[in-house]
Amino acid sequence: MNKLFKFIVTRSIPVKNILGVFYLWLYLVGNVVFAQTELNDIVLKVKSTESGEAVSSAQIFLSSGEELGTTDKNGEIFINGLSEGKKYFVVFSFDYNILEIESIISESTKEISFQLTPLAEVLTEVELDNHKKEIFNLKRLRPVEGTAIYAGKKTEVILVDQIAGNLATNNARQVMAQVVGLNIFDAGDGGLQLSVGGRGLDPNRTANFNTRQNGYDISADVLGYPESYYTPANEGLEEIQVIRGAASLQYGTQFGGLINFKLKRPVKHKEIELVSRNTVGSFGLYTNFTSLSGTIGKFSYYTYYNYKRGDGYRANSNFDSHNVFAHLGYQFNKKTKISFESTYLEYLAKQSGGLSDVQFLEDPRQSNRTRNWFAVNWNLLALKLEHKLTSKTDFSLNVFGLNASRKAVGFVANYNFSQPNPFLDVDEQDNEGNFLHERDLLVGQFRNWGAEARLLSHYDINDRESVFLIGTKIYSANNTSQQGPGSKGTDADFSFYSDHYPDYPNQSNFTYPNFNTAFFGENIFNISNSFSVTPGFRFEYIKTISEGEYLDNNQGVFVPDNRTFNRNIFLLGVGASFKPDNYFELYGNVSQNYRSVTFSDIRVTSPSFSVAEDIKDEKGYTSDVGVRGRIGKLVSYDASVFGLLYQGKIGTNFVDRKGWVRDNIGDAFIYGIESLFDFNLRNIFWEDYNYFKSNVFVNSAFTNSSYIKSEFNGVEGKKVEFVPLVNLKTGANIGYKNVMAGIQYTYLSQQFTDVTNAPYDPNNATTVEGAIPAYDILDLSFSYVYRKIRLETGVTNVLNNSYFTRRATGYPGPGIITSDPRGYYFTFEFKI
Amino acid sequence: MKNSIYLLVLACFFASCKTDASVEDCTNDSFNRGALLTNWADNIIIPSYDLYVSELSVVESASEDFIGNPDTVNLEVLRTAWMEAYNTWQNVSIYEIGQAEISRFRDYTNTYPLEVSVVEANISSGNYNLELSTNIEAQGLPALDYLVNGLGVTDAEIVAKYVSDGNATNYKKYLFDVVARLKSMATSVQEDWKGSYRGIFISNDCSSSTASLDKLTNDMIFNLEKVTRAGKIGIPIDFFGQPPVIAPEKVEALYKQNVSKELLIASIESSQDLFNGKHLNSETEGESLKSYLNELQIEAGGKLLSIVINDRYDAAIAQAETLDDDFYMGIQSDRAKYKITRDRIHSIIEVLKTNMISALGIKADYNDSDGD
Repeated sequence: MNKLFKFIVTRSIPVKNILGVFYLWLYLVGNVVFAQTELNDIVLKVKSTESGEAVSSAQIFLSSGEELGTTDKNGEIFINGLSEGKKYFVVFSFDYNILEIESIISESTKEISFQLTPLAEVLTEVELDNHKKEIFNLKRLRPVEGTAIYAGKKTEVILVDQIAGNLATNNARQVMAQVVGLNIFDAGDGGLQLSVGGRGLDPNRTANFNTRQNGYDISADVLGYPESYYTPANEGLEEIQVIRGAASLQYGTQFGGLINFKLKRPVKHKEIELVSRNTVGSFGLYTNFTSLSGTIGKFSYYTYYNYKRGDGYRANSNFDSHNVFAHLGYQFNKKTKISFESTYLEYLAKQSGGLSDVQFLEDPRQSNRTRNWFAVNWNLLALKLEHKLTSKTDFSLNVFGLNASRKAVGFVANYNFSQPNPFLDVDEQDNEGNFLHERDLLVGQFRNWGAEARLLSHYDINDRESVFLIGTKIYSANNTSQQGPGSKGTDADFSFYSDHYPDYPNQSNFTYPNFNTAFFGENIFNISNSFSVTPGFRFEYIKTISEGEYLDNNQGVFVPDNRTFNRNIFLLGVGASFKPDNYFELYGNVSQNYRSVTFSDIRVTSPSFSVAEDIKDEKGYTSDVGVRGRIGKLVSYDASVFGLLYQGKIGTNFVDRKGWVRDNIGDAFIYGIESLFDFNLRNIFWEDYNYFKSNVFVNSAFTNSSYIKSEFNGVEGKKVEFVPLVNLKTGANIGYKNVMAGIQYTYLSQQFTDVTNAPYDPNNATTVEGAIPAYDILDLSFSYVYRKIRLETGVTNVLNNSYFTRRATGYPGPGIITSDPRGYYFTFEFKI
Repeated sequence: MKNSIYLLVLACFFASCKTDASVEDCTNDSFNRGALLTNWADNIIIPSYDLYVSELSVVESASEDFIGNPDTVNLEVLRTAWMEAYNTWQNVSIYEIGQAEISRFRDYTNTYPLEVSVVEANISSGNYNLELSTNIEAQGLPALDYLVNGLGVTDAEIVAKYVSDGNATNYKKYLFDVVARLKSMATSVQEDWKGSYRGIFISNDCSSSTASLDKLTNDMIFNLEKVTRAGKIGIPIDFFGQPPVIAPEKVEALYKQNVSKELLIASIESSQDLFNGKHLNSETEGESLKSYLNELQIEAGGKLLSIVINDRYDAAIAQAETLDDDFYMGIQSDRAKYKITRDRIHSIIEVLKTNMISALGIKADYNDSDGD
C-alpha cells in the first residue's frame, strides 16, 4: 500500500491510465460482488386490520434505519438478501398508526405479514409532525443511503417542513438552527445568498463547504471558485443534509464538508398537486412560491417558481429575484430510474455597501453607496440515472452542467488617493450632481460540466455484511473573469467602458480552463455485530490554469500572467462506529482534507505581487469523536469533539527584494465540542396526549483555535478568524392540534475577523479589520393549518438588537454589513 | 452516565479556556508600548503639528500681505514662509493616522507633479471645489510653489500676474484658497490630537493590525517607501524603466527647483528621528522603536539591529548630501548618483520591513510597493 501511495504521489500519472485502472478495478470487483448468491426471497405484506385490505405506499424499515421499501398497490414488497435471525421491523403509513414488530427470519421464511391499525380521523398537524419525527429518528442513524456511506461520519439532517421559521427568506439562522456550530451571515437579502461556515472557516458564500443540490454541485467552480451564488428556495426543500469534514472522501474535499439540499420529490398517487405560498414581510418583502407536483404512471414531476422582492432594511438596497426549478423523473421499472433537473435563477440586487464601526454606531441603516449593483444569472442542468444492478448493488450516475454569470458594478474606492479607503472615500459629485468617478465592474462567467458515477454494493465477509462504495468524478470548467471601468452613471449598467476610461487602475481579463478527475472508495467492514470500521480513499488529479493579463499602472501596458498547476492528490480517511443497540452509537473518524488553490490565489493583478513557484493547496485533517442516539423516546442527542488541523493557509507576505509574495504561510488548529440535544417534553410529561407536541432543543458549540505557525509577523499564537468561543442556538417548539409555536434564541460570543486579532474598536473609522462583538437574537414563529390552508407568521430579532455578523473585505462591502432589526412576516399557503 | 462524561469534558474545556483568557496576551512581550506611544505623541507628533501650524500661520499672514499689496518684497516673504512650512511638512507627512488619515491630509497637501492645466482652468473659471479629489493635483504646497515661484521667470513677472493680469483677482483668490485649505486641514488635525485623539492613540497599545504602534510603524515605512524613495527620486529617474525615461518635471518643488535635496534630507531625517524617539528640535531621546528593539536585544549580523538601522539611515543621508540642490537639473546630468541614493533608502526599508517588524510582531498592512 505504501508503495502504491508513493507511486501515486510522486509520479504524475496520465489521466487515461488512472481511469483505465479504475475501470479494471470496477470490473474485477463487480465480478466478485455479482457472483454472490442471494439467500432468500421474502414477500412483506401490509394490510389494514379494519378492512383487511392491502395498504399501499407504506414504508417498511428495519430498526437499524435501513429502508426495505415502499409497498406497491397490492401492499407488497419483495425483498431478498435478508440475513437470518431476529429482526425488528417498523412499518409506517400516513393514515395508520406506526407498527413496530419483531420477527424471526429463517431459511424457510417466505412471507411476513403486517397489520396496521387505521387512525380514527384526519391527522392534525401535530400528529403528522410526531409521525414524521419518528421516521426521521429511525432514518438518521442509517449507515448507508442510496449510493452513499454515512457510517462513522458526523452527519446532520434537517427536515425542512419541521422548521419553525421564515422559509420564504431562507432564514438560515432558523432553517439551520439544529446544525451544530454554524456561523451564519445574517444578510437580510431575502436569502439570495447562503453564507454559512463553522469551525473557523470563512462563511462567505459557503465557500468552505462542498455545496450540492440533489447530489450534484451547484457552486460556481468546485475547486477554483467554490462560492455559492445560488441557493435553492427553502420552501421547495425536503431535507438539508450536512456531513462534516469526513465527507472529503466521497464528496468535495473541503474542510467544512458537504451541504446537500434535497428538494421535494414528486407526490405519489396524485397526478397534480399545487402548493402556492405568498409571503409579505417587513422592509417591503414579498415572495411567491408556487409548486406543481405529481406522478402519472411511470412519469413524475416536481417544479416550482419562486419570486422574491424586497427593499432591504438599509438605504440604497433592494432585490428582485426569479427562480424556476423542474424535476422530471421516469421510472422505467423497479430497477431503473432516470431523472432530469433544470434550475434557473436570475436576480438583481442594489447593494448599500459596508460601514465602519463609527458609521455603524451612528446609524446602522445609513449607506454611502448609491449606485452599486449586483446581478446573478444561473442555469443548471442535471441528469441522474439510478439503477439497481442486483438487489445488493446500486449504481447512480449524475451528469450536470452550469452556465452562469455574476456581475457587480459600483463605486468601491477613490483611486485619486494614494491609499484608497472604502470608508473615507466619498462617491464625489460635481455641482450639477454628476458623479465624478467611473464605477468598478467585475464580471465572472462560469461554464462547466461534470459527471459523477457511484456504485454501492453489499457483500459478505465471513457471513457478515460489508458494504463497499466506489465512484469516479470528472469535472471540466471554463470560466472567465474580467475587471475594468464601468459607467459613471447610476443604473445597473454592466457594460465595460474601457474605451472611455483607459487609465482605470483595476483592469484585468482572465480565463480559467480547469480540469479535475477523481476516484474514491469506501468500505464498511462489520467487525462484529455492533462494531464497524469504514476506511476510504480519494484520489484527485487537478489541473488549474489561469491565463490572462492585467494592467500595469506604472507602465500603462497590459502584462500577461499565465499559470498552470498540475497535481495528484491522495487522501485517506477512516471512520469507526460502535453501535451496541439501535439507540446508541459511538462514532469516530479522521480524514484528510484539502482546499485547492483558487483562481484568485494564483492570479496576479499588480506588478508588486508575485505567486510563489511552489505554492500548494491547503491541506489538513479533520476528526470527530462522538456519541449519538436517544434515551428512550425522551431525549435524542449527538455530542462530539472535533479537531481540525489546517496546514499551509495561503496568504501574502513581504519577502525582501521580491516584494509581496503569495504563498502558504501558516498552520492553524481548531478544536471544540459540539452537541445537539432534543428533549421531547410531550413524551416525558404528557405521553398520552397525541394532540400535543412539545420539544426543546439545545445546540451548542464551544470552539477554540490557535495559529500554531505563521510566516506573518504577530500571528503565531493568535486565534483563528470566525471562531466564536460559544455558539449557542436553543429553542422550543410547542404544538396543539393544528397550531404550532416556536421560539429560538441564538447567541454567539465575540469573534475576530483577521489573523492579527484586531479587537473591536468603536472609534474605528478607517479599517475593515476588527472583531465582531457578541450578539444574541430571539425569534418567534407560529403556524396554523386549516384543511388545505396553512398560515405562518413570526417575528425575527424580537429584541430588536442592532448587530452585525460580517465585515466584508470586498463585495458587498467592504465593511460592516448590517443585519436586520426586528422584522415580521406572514405567509399564506394553500394546497390543491 | 454519558451526559456526565460530556459535562466533565465541557468543564475541562471551559477551564482551559479560562486559563487562556487570564493571560494578558495583548502583546507578545513585556515592553511598555504605551510609554513609546506617549513619547511619540507628546514629544514628536504634537510638537510637529504645532510647529507646522504656526508656520502655516506665517504663510497665511504673508499671503494676506501679498494679496493686499502684491510686490516683490512681500513675494519674497511669502516664499520664505512657504519654504519653512514645506520643510516641516516632510516630518508631518509621516503621521497619516487619525484625523490626518480621515481627511487625506497628505494627498491634499503634497501631491505632485502639479496639474498646471487644472490650476489655470480653476483660476480662469473661478469655479472650483478644492475638497474634491479631482482637484488633488491642483492644490497644496506644490500649488503654492507654482503660485509664488512658477508664474513667471522673474519676480516682477510673477507679481504682474496678481496686479495687471486680466485674471489678477482670481489669482489672488486662488492663492488665498490654497493657503486657507492647507491651514484648515492642518488645524483640524492638530486640534484632534490635542483633543480626544491623543488619548485614543496612546491607549490603543496592544498588538494587532489596528493597534497604534502597528499602524504608525506601517505609516512610517510607507512614507519612507512611497513618499521619500519613490516620490522624490524613484519616479523622476524612472527607476524601473527599461530603458528609463527620466521625468525631471516630476521632482518635488519643481518651480523653486534648488530645494529638492533639502526636502529629501529633511524627509529621511524625520523618519530616523521617529525611529529613535528623538524629541522635536532637541537631542533628547525617549522610548522608541530603537529602545523597543534594544530591550528585546534584537541583533542582525552580530550587531544590535537598531545600530544596523541607524547606520543605514546615516548612509542614505550621507549619499543624499552628494546630490545636487536642484534635482531637476541633477537627474538629467547624472542619474546614477540618484539611483544609488534611492537604493540606500531602499536598504533602510528592507531592514525595517523584514527584520524590525518581525521582531516586534507587526504585520505589514499595505501591499502596494509599486510606484517607482
